[in-house]
Amino acid sequence: MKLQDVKQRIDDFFDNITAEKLYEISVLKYSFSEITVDLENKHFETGKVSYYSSSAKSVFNNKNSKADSNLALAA
Amino acid sequence: MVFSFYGHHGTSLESAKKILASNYELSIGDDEWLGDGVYFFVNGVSTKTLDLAEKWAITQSWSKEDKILKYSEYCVLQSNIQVDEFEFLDLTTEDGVEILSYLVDKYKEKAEAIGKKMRFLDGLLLNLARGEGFLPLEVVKGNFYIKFAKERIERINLRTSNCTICTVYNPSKNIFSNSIIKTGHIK
Repeated sequence: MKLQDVKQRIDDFFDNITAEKLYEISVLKYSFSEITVDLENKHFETGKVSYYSSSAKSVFNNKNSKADSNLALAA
Repeated sequence: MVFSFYGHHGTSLESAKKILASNYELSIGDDEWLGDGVYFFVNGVSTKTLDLAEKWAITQSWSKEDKILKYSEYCVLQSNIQVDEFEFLDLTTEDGVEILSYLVDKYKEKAEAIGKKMRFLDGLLLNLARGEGFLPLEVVKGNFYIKFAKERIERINLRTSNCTICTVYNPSKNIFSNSIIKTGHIK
């Protein structure tokens, strides 16, 4: 099967179904699930925490000056 | 053009007898790799499809929930699969992947028009395409990384595919012969 053989059929399906109906059958009939969380921000937040977790002690518990800590964060 | 090839299916001996008597039952569920169908190991990234099917039968014998063997007698069935080129989606090729990617793009475009973001799984998309009749799918093939008993016990989680599987959606149409070619006992 090649795309050129089925492209028109795929296009016809999506052209002739409303977005609401597609959503409805996807969830109710085919068990699709919806992403309701803002994954991009969630991921960024998680990434930010894990990225700094290993160095958090040295950054936040050390005796360096405020200027030194800022340099570490900037790096 | 009609493709004809052999696939190996690992299961319990009891199930195999039922299959020989009345053909395969479909595996249903949204976790299925290529949608609701009957699954076989076929030649691809590995040619040791009999071994893979045997390992699968052994892997599936263990009930993770109940911590018991669901069966101790297993077997491997060999089946001849025949499918018309136009009804065969081969996701191990560029042509096949192009179709799936196009399907995702069309779906996303439509869903995002009403602000919906859906979780995409190959099997769900293929079920949709078949169920709504806009792709003439009868057999689909793809490369996957499957965790057998060893990978599960030793927690080996790789990305690299270790087998090629195919699913047949309509066994009575596309499966032409079945035979038990190996049996074994799980101790």
